[in-house]
Amino acid sequence: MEKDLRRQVEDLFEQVLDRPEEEWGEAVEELCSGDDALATEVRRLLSAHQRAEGLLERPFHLETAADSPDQSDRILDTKIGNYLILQEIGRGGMGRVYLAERADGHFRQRVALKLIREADADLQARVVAERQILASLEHPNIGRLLDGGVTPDGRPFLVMEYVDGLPIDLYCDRMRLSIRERLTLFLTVLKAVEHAHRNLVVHRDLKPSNILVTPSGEVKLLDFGIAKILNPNLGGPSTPPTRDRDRALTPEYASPEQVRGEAITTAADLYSLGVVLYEILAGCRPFESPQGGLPELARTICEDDPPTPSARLGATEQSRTPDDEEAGGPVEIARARHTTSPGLRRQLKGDVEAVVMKCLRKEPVRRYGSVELLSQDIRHFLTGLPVEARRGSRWYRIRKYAKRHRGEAIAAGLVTVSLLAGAAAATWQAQEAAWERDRARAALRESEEVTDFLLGLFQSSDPLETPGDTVTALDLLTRGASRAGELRAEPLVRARMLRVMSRANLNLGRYGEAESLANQALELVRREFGEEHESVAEALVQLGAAFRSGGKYDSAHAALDRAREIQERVLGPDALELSTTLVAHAGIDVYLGDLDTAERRTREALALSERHLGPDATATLNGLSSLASIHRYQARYAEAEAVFREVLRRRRALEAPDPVRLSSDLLQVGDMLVVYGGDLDEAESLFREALSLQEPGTGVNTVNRVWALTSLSNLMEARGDMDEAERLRREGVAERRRTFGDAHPLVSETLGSLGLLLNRMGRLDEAEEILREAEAVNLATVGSDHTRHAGTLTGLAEVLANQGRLEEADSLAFQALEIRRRAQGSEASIVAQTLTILAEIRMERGLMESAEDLLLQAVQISSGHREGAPLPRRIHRDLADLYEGMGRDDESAHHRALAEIGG
Amino acid sequence: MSDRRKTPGDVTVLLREARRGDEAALDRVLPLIYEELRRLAGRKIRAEANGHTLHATELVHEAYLKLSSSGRMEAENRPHLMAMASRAMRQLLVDHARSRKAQKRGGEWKRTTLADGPIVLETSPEELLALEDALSELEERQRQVVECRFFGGMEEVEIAEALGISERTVRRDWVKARAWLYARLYPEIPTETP
Repeated sequence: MEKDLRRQVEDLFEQVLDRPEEEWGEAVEELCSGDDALATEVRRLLSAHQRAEGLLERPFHLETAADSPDQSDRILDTKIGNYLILQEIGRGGMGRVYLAERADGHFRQRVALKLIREADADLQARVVAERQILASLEHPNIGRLLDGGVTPDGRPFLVMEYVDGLPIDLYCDRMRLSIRERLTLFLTVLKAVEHAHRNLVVHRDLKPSNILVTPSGEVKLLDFGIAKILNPNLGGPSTPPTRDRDRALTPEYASPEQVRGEAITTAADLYSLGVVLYEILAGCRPFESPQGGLPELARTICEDDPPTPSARLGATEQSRTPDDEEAGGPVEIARARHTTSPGLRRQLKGDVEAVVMKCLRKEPVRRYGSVELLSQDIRHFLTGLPVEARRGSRWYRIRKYAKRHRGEAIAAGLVTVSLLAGAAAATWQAQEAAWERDRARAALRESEEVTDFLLGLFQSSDPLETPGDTVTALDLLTRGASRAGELRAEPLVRARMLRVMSRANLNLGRYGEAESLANQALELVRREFGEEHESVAEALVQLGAAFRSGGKYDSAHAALDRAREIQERVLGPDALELSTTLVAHAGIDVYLGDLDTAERRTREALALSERHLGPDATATLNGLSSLASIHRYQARYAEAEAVFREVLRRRRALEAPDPVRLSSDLLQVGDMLVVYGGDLDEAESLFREALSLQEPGTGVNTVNRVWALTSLSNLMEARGDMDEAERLRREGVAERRRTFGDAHPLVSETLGSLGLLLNRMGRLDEAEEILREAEAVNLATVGSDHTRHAGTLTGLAEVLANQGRLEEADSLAFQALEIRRRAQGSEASIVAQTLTILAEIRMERGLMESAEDLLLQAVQISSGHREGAPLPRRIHRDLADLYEGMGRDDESAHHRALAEIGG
Repeated sequence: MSDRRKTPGDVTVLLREARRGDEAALDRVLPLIYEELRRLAGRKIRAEANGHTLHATELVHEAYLKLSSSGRMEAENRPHLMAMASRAMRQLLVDHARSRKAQKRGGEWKRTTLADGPIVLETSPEELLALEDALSELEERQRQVVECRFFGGMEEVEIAEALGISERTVRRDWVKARAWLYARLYPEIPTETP
């Protein structure tokens, strides 16, 4: 076109453009005034203009495709075998890949020819191996091996199917595939890898440039060049690959074990697939290529936890630079996925991300077990089913939930823990503590008696003015024990003295000593009076108490059974004395989880004391109080509270109620209110009253004083005043230490309850420290077979689990379980509770089968419990969560329903 | 390759001279910018193998920064130098496309011009060369606008400054150039050809 004409056309074009579009035709006619050639040109330009919208709109850009070939290569346009080399198209660890054409005149076929760099024997052997591998991998999504040979200068070569496609990441972006479309495409990649793995071939160098997608959307996996042969038979003459060569890999996609040069399994491919998937989805790899180069990248791969895709995208967005709009920034990445960057993060968060991250675990065993499982999880996601990968986090949520659940009942402290555990199962020493209280209370009373007794006996000039002065009491007892044999007192008096000293030793936490003294008493009366004597029964009851405190429950059972037989024969079946034995025996039943028997024995004892002593007698009120405790363990809370209130009412009505017993009654009612959501203000006034009855120096009642402090602490915790709760517990510890010294089981009990409080407060390190202290005290006093030790271990397990130290926690909970099984039998409720705690830890560790097994055992044991009791509810809740995570929905729903009974 | 180690200071001087209308200076400055771009692109391609997107804009900006950072480049020179870089970019891409085409025909191995490695062009070598042919038919100023905008990713205001015209003129030139290019590139549109 002439320059003038061109300028003329442009002028007219611009004039027409100034008019509304519908007038253009008219305008051209008008402006060109009969010059048809001119009009045609203007129309042509206008027409082009209408269609040119968007042409060259986006500034030019280009993309790099593969490693650069070496410019000095002179091989192009030469022939290798029957193939004419056309162009270098890639370069791998073993050599270069060329586009070539079959040149033997038969048919024209484009192929990829891989020329091995050097002619060394090892490589040749590997090539032979590779030919065999590839020949065994007939799959539509795996590039086929066509031919192979050796060049005249001795360099081996392989001829493979030529794939004209784009690396998968580039393809996805170019096609602007959505996340779902990308995942679907990725499933095809997985099918190919699955096939290879089934043929025992590990790819070992999976990366986008080895995963091509053709314009028609066909996926082809290339280059099994460094594939390791898992089956040695397939390997043929190939020599084992050297470590160095093994590490000739693409570091960005290499698994930690590959980077370290360790044994490679299919799990390495899973890792690389994870990196590829990460990149396809998020537009970036989990780890940046760091400043420190390869060594730094290798360290990162082996040590650092990769950020989740959404976290990485979020971080990129935060540090956005102006360039990000275009150059691989979050906006561009999201746009290539048909979404916005917040939208992309939302899509990736949760299931998709969990799937990717499961592939990227450092430990091969923690990744998917196979490519099939990864495929299945992706398909689950695509069809809206729960993914396996999130099980771990479900456990985490369960754990969280369990924690929250524990928090709900935060008020209870020592008592709560036992009740949460359900029925009779005292976690800690909850009802061991209740027992301890009863027993210690009695023992302390007895110790006043023993004081009188010993004082009278020895004419001691040193009056025991301070009951808490243990050194004096201990001295006295030691002196008394050493001189007991010398006494020529009546056998009954001596036996009584031995029993009383046994009790006093129990009170001092010297269980072995207590047992020995009770045995001495028993031997003495048996020798003196034979088996059928009231005093033998008395000695047996004391021995039973010593056994019980020492954790020898079977022996305790046997001793009390024997005592009862003797009493029934000697004193008759309705003797009042039977009630003491029955109440003691019921305590052991409670401890072993046999609540029905405990209730039956307690009611028997109660009937006896009512008949012999009347409704307001101390023994009757004590029996009622025991019955109420059993109701509490039975989760019959309303009945328990009613009975406790009735005891309190009757006690208050007495002319001069025993302040110790009155304070116990006050504490029982108050505890019920705190633990079961009653009126906290009323509870506080009850606790304060109990405390006022036993100010230091007003009695020997240090046990009830600590009880009151603990109950008040629970109350403060329920109110959220954690500082005061902690202060009160620490005061309890101090009180116990003042009374019993540092090394006493009752001191470890208060330490334990303080430790658990700190655990609930989230002060885990301090909690651990305190519980370790409790553990040390237990080991020094009751020993490692005692249930007290098991209690401390359980508490420690919870703290460690909260710290994320799951394996240690597991080991401690397991030890606790073993101790309890040995001491309390495998059917005890407390065993069910320990099983549950261990199961929760196992769930968190992802050991589902084991957790299921433990929980089913726990269900079995607790099947005798009333529906809706806390322990069965907790077990069912755990099972429901477990089955939900395993996708066993019916079972989950079943247990969920059971867990909700009574809730 | 031999003279690519010219200092940026040289570029400044040459550029100043080129602005004064010294055609010889322009002839000398362009190869410098060209080489800088080539080097930048090559380095990026090597560093970011496997499907990294390289934007002309990025390269041009970086070439500009590189050339201007140590030299005492006045601010007014920026759009001018950017326009130069855009032209160099165009030249570079066309050379690259030519060598790629040559390879595809199975011709003798030759270095690709843009970078020492295969790259994927969003625009195919054929399209690029067709565009080059079409550009050669455009009026000089329209071609410059296309260069700046498409190959250099420059903003209208920068182009206006670089070419010493108003922004409105830049827009009008762009519309005309685009229509001409379209008509040339896709001539099959229905119309009565003269």
